[in-house]
Formats: sequence, C-alpha cells, structure tokens
Amino acid sequence: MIAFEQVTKCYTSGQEALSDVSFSIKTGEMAFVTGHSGAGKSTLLKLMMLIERPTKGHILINDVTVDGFSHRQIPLLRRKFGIVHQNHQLLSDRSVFDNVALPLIIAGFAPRDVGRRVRGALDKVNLLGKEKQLPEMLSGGEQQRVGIARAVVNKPPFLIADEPTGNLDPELSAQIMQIFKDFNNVGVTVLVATHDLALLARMPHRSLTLREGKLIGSGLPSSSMHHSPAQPHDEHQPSVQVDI
Amino acid sequence: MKPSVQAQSDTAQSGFMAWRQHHRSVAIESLVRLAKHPLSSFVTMLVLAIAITLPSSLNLVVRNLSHLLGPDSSTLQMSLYLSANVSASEAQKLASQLQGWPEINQAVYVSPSEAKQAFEQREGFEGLIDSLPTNPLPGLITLSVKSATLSAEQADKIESKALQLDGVASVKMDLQWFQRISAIVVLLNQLAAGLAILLATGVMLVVGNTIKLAIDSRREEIIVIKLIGATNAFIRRPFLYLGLWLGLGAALLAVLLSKISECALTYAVSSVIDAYGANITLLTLGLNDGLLLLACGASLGLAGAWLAANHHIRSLEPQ
Repeated sequence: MIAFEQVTKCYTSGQEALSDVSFSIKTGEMAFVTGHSGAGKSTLLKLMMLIERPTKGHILINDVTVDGFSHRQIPLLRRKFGIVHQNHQLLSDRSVFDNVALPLIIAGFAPRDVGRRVRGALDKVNLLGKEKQLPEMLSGGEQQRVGIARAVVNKPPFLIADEPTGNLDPELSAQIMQIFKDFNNVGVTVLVATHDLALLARMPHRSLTLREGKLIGSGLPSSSMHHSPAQPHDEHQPSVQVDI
Repeated sequence: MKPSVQAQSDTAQSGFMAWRQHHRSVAIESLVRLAKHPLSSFVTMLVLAIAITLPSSLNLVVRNLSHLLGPDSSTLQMSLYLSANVSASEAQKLASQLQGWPEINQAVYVSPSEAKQAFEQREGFEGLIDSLPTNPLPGLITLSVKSATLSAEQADKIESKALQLDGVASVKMDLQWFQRISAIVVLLNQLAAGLAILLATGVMLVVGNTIKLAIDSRREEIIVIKLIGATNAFIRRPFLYLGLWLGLGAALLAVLLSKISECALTYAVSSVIDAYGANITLLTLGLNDGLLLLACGASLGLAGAWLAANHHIRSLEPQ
C-alpha cells in the first residue's frame, strides 16, 4: 500500500511542486499518474523513493510512515521498489547481465541465486540471448526492457515507472505496458507516470491526474483526463481522498 | 520451528558468502581499474612512496648514527674511587658484586699500587709519588657499561646506585660526549617524527584526492545504484580497496627505494670505513621494518580513502 496524506512539497526556490495531495494505492493495484510536464508527477515519485522529503504531510508505505526515515533506512526502503526510468539509467560499461544483477548484489544475494534470478528476469522481457552485450549495443526498446528486468529482478512489491514509453513508438509502448500488466497480474503493485493519453485510454486502470501540483482527479481515464483535462469543475477539488 | 531456524542460518550463511564474494570481486575490480591506467597509477604511487621513504630513511640514518657514535662498552666507562680504609680483599668483593649487575659488562679492581704504577709510567711523572710520604692514590674500580643504547638517565641511575655502595667515595664518568650524542639523536628523532606526521597527512590527502577524482568519474553510476537501494558502505567499498592498493603499492615502492638508496649509501660508506680500518656494520632496513612500512602504507591509504569516500559519496544524491 502506498498512501499520501495531505502532502505538500515546496522546493527551496519557493516553487510549490505539490500541494495538499492525498491518495492511496492498494497492494496489488495498477494505477497511472498523469498530468502535463511540470504538474508534479516526478516530484510525486521522488517523494515515494525519499529522493525528496515532503514539506508537509506524511507518506506511508505498507502502513509505515517513511518520510522521517534516516539516511541509513532509505536504502532498505528503496529496495522495495523496482524503478523504470525514461532514460533507462543503465550502466554503460557493464553487460546486460551485470546491470540486471545489480539489485541482487546490493541486496547480498548468494552468487548461485544471482545467475538464476537474472536469467529468469531476462526471460520475462525476452532478452535471454543478450545477457553478454553492452547496453549501447541494444535498441531503445530493448534497453527499456533491460531496465524493467533490473527493476523486477529482486521481486519488489512495488514497480514504479517514470515515463517508461517516452521515447518509444506506439507498438513498443504497448509491449512495455503489457509487461507491466503481467507483473501486476502476479500481485505487484504498479504505478506508471505518463503523459501518453492515448495509452491511458486503452487501459482500464485508475489514474491520478495532477495539475500544477494539485490532484484534480482520480478515476478511470475516460472519466477524467482524456476528454476534458482542463474543465473548471476539476479545479475546485484540490484535494481528493481516494480509498478503494 | 526447526526448519525455519535452519532456513535462517542458511540465509545468514549465504548472506555472508555473498558479502565475502562481493569483497573479493570489488578488490579485484579495483586492482584492474588501477592497472587500466598504469602510468598515472604508477606516478601517484611514486609520489606516495617518496613521502613514505623520506621519514623512514631519516629514521634509519638516526639509528645508524646512534649505533655508530653512541656509547658502547669501550667508550662508556665509569670510575669508582674507593675510600682509603677499603682493603684489597673488600675491594675485590665489591668488584665481583658490581660484575653481577645486569648493566655492567666488566668491573676491574685497580689497587693503589697499580694506580701508582700506571701514573708513574706517564712522561714527566716518574718518581713524583715516591717523593710523597704515602701513596695518595685511592683504590679504583673501573666499570664498562654494557648497553650500546644506554640513555643519559640510565647512566645517572647507575652512578647513584654505585654511590650508595659501602666503600665507594666518588664516581666519575665522562658523560659530556655521551650527552651530546644523545641530544642530537633525540633531536633527529623528533625531526623524523614531525616529518613523518606531515608526510603521513600528505599521503592521506593525495590518496583522498585520487579517490575524489575516481568518485567524480563514476558519479552517474553511484547515483543509479543509490536509487536501487545501495548503502553508502556498499558504494564506498571499491574506493576503499582503491586506497588500500594505492597505499600498499606505494609502501612496496618505498621499500624498494629505501633498499636502492641503502645499497648506494653502503657502498659509499664502506670506502670511508675501509680507509679508517674500522670494523663497522651499518644497520639496514630489516624484514620487520619492511613489514611496518607496508602496514603504514596500507593503513594510510585506507584512511585517506575512507575520509574522502565518506565525504564525497554522502554528498552525491539522486536528484
């Protein structure tokens, strides 16, 4: 479970990136975070990973308030999340295998388990034959799949993706989304930040819509963002408590 | 309960194995990284080696000085003048008692008549004592002191101990030469220690700077693995090994440098020694000194790396 309770984030520059945002995502749910660039999507994900800390309000992960975690506790929290980045964030001087193995080595898995799990994760994203290659030898879609394999290799309870289809064509995007759905089907809580509205329209999942730091809607895409992203009545709901 | 306890100990064991495995792979990886840039690695190590060699060589020079010029059994002698009422047999007893002291190499009794003989052998003094009514020379015990590394304080202690003996009237000891040498040795030792502290700081700073550059060049990688949940200790590990290898390599080079300069010096000194016909051996860098240098180099490298890595890794956070 991921829950935000009246979270406000002001940067030192004075910019208010999120204001009074509350929502919760149940364990095993798949949801989207949408909004224009600058609406606060990235800030929302950063707060979840404790890359940033909230100015006000609380963040709960599996019923534990994490916003006061010390520097020592943060790594253990982050191991609960698999993260997929738009620009992959792969290490260019290491093979696909070594990149995917990284979370396991960090978490201290025994060497014999590492090989087995890495191959399992690469199998899920159909890249089993490319484990010895360097990331730059792969196509954009393949690199993104390596990123996904790395995100799921230690079987985290949460999978977070920040614009995972940003650089991909529609067909590849659909493939990537299908992979996320498959993980969701086996119980992983999935949260995808995207501004790809066409993609959202095809997915029957809840989406949290942000606008200028405020949560202006949460529900199925057809009922909020897709048809009328800037309708006046949305602006009168700065804080929406969602409990499903 | 049993299976779960078993499973727990299995996990702990495999966790330890994974930790050991990671140490091994990180240690090798750091070595490989050093070997990838052989010239710059070598230059860094050479700079560190020179900084390590300087104080250790100075220390060796001081040890040689105090060994060659310091007091030994032939130079450090004490004369115990006995009271007039001490008989020859009492004096002999006293001498053998002194001989039993651990600091004393040899105690020889010189009777008044022997002293008179020795005195009269000197040019111009013949018959001088005979002209007096009685022999004024007292009995004497000459002591040669054992230790070549004897300090001025120890010498003082022997003197006061001897003075407390029955029948000893006064003690005479030529301490001036000894005290001068001691003072010079103390001064040089302090100089070596000061130099060692300064240069050790220098070694740590150089290692720290090298580590900072290494961290800067792997900035993105560090941020990525922080995001995945790496602890600072995990991220620090390869840089600590880098520091350890640098320090160890530098210390090995320092031993090599010391040995080379030692050979050159021994050759130069031996010609001087031959000219004087003296039988002197120089103290050289032994196995223990070499091991001590290696330990110092390794710990300085590790300490410098730890300070730098701790500081710079903490400041690198994902944005």
